[in-house]
Amino acid sequence: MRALTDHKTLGIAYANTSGVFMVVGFLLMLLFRWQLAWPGQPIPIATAIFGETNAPGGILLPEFYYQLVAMHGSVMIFLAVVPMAVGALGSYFVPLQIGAPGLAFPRLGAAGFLTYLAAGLLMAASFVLPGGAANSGWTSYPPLAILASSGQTVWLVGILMLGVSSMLGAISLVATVVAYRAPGLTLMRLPFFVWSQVMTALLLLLAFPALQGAAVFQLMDRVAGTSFFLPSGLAVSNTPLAVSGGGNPLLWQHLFWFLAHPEVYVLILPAMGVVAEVITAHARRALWRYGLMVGAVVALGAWSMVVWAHHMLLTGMSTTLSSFFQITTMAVSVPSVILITSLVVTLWGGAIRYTTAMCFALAFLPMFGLGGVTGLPLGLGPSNLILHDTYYVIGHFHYLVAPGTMFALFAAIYHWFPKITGRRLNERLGLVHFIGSFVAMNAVFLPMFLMGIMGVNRRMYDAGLQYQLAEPTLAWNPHMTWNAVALGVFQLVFLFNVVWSAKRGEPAENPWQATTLEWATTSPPPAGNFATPPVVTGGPYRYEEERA
Amino acid sequence: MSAIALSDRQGRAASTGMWLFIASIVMFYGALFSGYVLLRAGSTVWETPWRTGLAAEWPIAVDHWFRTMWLGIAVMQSRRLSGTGVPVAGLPRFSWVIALAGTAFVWRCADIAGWLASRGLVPATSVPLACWYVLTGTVALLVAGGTIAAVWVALEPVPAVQRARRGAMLQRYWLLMFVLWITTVGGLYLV
Amino acid sequence: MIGEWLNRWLPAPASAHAARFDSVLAATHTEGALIFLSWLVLFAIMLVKFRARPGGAPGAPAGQRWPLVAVAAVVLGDVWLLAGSALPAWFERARPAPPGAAEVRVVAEQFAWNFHYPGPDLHFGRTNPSLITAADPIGIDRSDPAAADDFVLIGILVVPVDRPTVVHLSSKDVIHSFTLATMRVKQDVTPGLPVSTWFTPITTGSWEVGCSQLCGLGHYRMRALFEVRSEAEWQAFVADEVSRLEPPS
Repeated sequence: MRALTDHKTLGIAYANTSGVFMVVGFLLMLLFRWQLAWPGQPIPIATAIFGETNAPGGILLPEFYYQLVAMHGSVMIFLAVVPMAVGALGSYFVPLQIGAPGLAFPRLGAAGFLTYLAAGLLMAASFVLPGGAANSGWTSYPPLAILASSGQTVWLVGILMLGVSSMLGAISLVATVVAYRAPGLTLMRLPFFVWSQVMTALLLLLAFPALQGAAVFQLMDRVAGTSFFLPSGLAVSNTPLAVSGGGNPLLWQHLFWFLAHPEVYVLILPAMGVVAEVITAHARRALWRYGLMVGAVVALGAWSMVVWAHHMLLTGMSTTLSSFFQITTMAVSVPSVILITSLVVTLWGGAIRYTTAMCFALAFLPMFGLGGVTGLPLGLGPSNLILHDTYYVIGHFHYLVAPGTMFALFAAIYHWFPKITGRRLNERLGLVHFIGSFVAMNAVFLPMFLMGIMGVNRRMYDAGLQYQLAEPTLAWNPHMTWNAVALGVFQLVFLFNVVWSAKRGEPAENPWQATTLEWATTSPPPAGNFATPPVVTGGPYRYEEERA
Repeated sequence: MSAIALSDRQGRAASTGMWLFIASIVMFYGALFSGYVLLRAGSTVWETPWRTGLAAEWPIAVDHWFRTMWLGIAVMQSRRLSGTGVPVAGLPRFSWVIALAGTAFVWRCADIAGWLASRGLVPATSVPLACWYVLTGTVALLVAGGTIAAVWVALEPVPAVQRARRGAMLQRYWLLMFVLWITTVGGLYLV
Repeated sequence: MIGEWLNRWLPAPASAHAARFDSVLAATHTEGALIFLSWLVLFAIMLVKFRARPGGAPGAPAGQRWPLVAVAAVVLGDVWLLAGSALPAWFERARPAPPGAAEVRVVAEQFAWNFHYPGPDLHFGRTNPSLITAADPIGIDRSDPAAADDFVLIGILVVPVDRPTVVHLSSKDVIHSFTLATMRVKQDVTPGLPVSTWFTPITTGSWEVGCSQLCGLGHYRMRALFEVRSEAEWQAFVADEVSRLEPPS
């Protein structure tokens, strides 16, 4: 507990915990991908593990399938990727990169982690409840979510706690950057990663409370019998629901997406920050048009709060309102293009070293790009109508988050592992991990765009067996599932690499000759981070001296 | 970093942290309040106990202004602590005044909720009542948190500089409570 | 080119507005492909050209104008998409249906689509939830004269070709999403918020009604038959269904 007040211990605690949740989320996915590949085929030993209520005779029931899907999304977003990108990387490297001895509010940071841990354990434990975990999708749309079993209540409590957790962490992080920068480290000399973390923290601070408000409403609807999201005259199975009515189901969607769209940027911005750090160090280049990029990342964060209703274009909102959100959505492409162009033009004239970290960071760019351009048809009414709630959407956001953000996280781990342990990860194993992940990820997600164009809906327990239009795609599912399995195998290589290299890897202080401040101290950094407080005299990326 | 510089940094961090916390609460309460506004705008009938005659039995609105005054007193008291970094000898006393006002506020909220509930007017009765309970309850909860913080500031022996800073933070928080409560009273009863 | 490629995979368009919607899809994918592919070429060139060589050192950075070119291209592309393609099509869909449309009420529930046809008098009779039975999931009030020739089909939607059909959507329980893939029709059906949409089928055929919004454990099987028939066949269908109605007692 006391140890957690050290930002490095805190970062490692976040990394390990979110790593475990990432594995959990991945295993949930493998289970439902089995069901999608071979609908209704028994899984050996499933009954022994999940019991008769979930998998009688090894066959996953819809009850269980929809829990798996809802919890895969919730675990991956709230318990795995955000805590890894913000909790782990932010807590560990932001103080180091600004030359600070620690976080401004160490106790808040520790409390934030413990709240996250409790929320995560609670949500994971909800699988053992009668009726199991939440099963109404990670979006939890009412009235369905209000009618759902008690796992949904736990989910809501978990979300409230996660909101508190991210608020505590975000306050601590931003205050650290504001107050504890090393002498001479002006705002425009900050590493880009710090900017991305600050923007992320601000988004969490300002957007998460909206979801917490919505969660309070939904919790009241479930526990106190109120009707915030329940209109009058509801009848379930032709039995009138004994509630007062008078509420509005769409209110949830507005509040939910007011968080959940910025949440996407919470997933993406730290990834951009990581990629900027890795690309500059491994291509020996200063970030190209740093000032413009800072402006773009601030604009992107701010703008992400006025686009939320593009998730709701088909709810029947007025054409004027939906047009407004289509226009704001298209405008997002401007800062996005600035960021991605600047990152790639940074390479110009550089000397690219193809390390594993660099491979992952470079692969992030086209993967993120693909996720970005497939957002175009989803943001416009007529094409959204064709693709809404199909596999196209799944492909789109997974390209942003899975081969996108996840690759950036891997890049961060390969890049900063020497900083944390004083040893390098094995490059050969790293290359196997990279190539395997790259191929498998694309093999899983690329077909989804085509499935979506063909009209195959998402959230189908039987992969669309009942639908004529899904018929040609049924044969693709086994291939996608095998690739998901392969993806898992390649992550085993990675896990082995991490465990092995932490003990026996090649010792290294600053193997990339990087110039940002975290490398100005020993690896791993001592307590208090810097033996002599650093003084900053220039920008973060000083590779120009190497020029021929 | 020298000792004085460190203290400056701590003050800056505390101030930043408090503003961020306030922004976060504003967004949280804003979500609840805009939910209330949207629900009310979208409904054809909006029946509240104080609109359908029950208010005559209990001057609720007056009572709310009474509570607002309590909060106002607390804020006025805390305003006297102005000036970060300056030791304030009387801070514990003011903290107790704030804590007392906060406790009274929370008690009044619970009392009215109990009075409503004893007449069968619970959150499940109608959306207007549900809104009343959630908005009032949220403010009461935030006030309760501020009360605990005030007691903490009063009791924990820390250096004078740090205590004065905590007093200033407390004051900002209570100003926020004041604004939230005026919004709630206005939104629930006056509009 | 991209449009042709998409057409190979899209469900065959069968409504009057489908081609226009597909063209928006094609336009967005064209812009997306142009941006992505040109960016990818640049990226690939750099990956090779600027690789670290033994003994080599980094050279001069790129000029400052690059992103302006990219941003200008993207802004132009976005404006073209919005003003030239998406919004006009979107606003056209928001117009009320032309007169002479066939009308059907669609009542969604877990996990079925119920279709309430007004019959030859073209007027929907009153409904009353207390009259709901297994055979009549929407509770038609037969005491209303307008309801005399109304009929309800569970899971079968039949509409005439070459004539607009207006669907009036409502839900009894949770949010569903009314989907006719070949018609390029998709509309969330939120309880408490009745909403209408319309389309004009241009070919006869037999397809399916789908639900696109997670509505519970049976979401995956919430599917209905959807048939577009010639005007004469459709009239015969209506007459046949009306003839099966029990005479009022």
